[in-house]
Amino acid sequence: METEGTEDPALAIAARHALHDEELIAAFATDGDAVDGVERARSFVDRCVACRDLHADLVAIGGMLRAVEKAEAVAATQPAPRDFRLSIETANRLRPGSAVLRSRNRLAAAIGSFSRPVGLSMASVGVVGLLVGTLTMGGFASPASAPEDNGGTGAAGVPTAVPGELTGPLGTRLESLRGSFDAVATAAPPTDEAVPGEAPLSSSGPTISTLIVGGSAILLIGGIALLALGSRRREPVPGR
Amino acid sequence: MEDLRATTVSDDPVQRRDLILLERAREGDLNAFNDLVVCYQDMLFALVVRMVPDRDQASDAVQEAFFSAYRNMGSFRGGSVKSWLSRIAINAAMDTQRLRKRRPSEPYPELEDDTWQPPADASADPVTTSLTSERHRVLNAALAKITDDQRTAIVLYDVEGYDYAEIADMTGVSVGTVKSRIHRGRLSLRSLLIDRMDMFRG
Repeated sequence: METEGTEDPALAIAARHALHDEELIAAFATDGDAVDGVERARSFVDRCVACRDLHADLVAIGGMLRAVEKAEAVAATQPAPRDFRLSIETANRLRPGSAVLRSRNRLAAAIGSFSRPVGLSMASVGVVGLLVGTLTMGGFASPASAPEDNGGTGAAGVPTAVPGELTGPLGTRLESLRGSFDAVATAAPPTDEAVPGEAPLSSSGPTISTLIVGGSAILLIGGIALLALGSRRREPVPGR
Repeated sequence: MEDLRATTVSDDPVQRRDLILLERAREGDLNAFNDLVVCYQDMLFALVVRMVPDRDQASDAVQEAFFSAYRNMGSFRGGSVKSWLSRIAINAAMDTQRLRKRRPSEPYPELEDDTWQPPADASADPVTTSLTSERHRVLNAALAKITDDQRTAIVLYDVEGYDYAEIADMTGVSVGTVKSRIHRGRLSLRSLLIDRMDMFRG
């Protein structure tokens, strides 16, 4: 379908060239006579100015590409930007072996990577727990003497500050006890029995604290053990 | 594990050295493998950086190629160790290209090194040398803009001198596809260089 009727000669050439197979011209420029359809390609180049220019340009580009040094020649003058040698650790990680061995190594590597952060976390929680537990044990021992220390007793020697500070069932129980004490205030001298609600406190406090301290100690020991396991796995295995 | 030296007889001292090193590496000698790395790392980087024109990504691809070679030493069945490593590096470069396709990224930066420069010719006059350098710089910039597949095919065929069948084998496509990539790549280069073609024709 030639465009013979086009008036502008340049436009006519371009229109004709648009119908020509440029990839065939490129193949002809690359492979020469070995290309399939060589006669058709040759006719394009012989009859179409645009095809001839395209062919000449592609041949020139091919020549420039072939003039570029091969990688081997470049390597003689331009070293790689870094050293790609394998470290012992990397080699151990990559070491070839059976499928079972590779699976075992992958599992061991996964455990190795897992043990360090978990061990560190457990040890940290253990240390904090030990500190909190120890402080709590000391803290629960002091309230028994608190009324004497702060001197915050009412007219009848009942520690007025205690009910206000305690909440929940313990506080309610202390409020009712306070009423009873008010009734007998003039007859009975104030005693330490005025704070009977402290009895459960002082007995459960050490129990909770003991649990905290014991649990923290277990966490700490477990964390240290995991850390040790993780550290041992990171040591290089002799490569030979 | 078969003895490579027994199955592959070579008169080429370099190839014999490579086979001995690889055999030792397969027996667990990491230093032997690292000797091979030292022998070929510059060449493989020069090859890969033409396929992946970003020096950092090319470095990562070469490193991955050596990892892969170490992992798969057992699959080597004789022949040229250099060719075996080159194929692994080309595969690593193509993996890097595929990764780039999946992630939106910036176009390749223009290389600042001289890997595309032709060998210096002491007899050439300064004008000719300068013109040749400029041609290669322009060609390099254009190559960084064509598709990865086309660039790979052109680099392997035109620059490195592999034949169509070898490239098809390495890239996992048919010979017809390799030819098409080379032809279309050259057409793309011509479109990119159309305003500078006088420099190449001269």
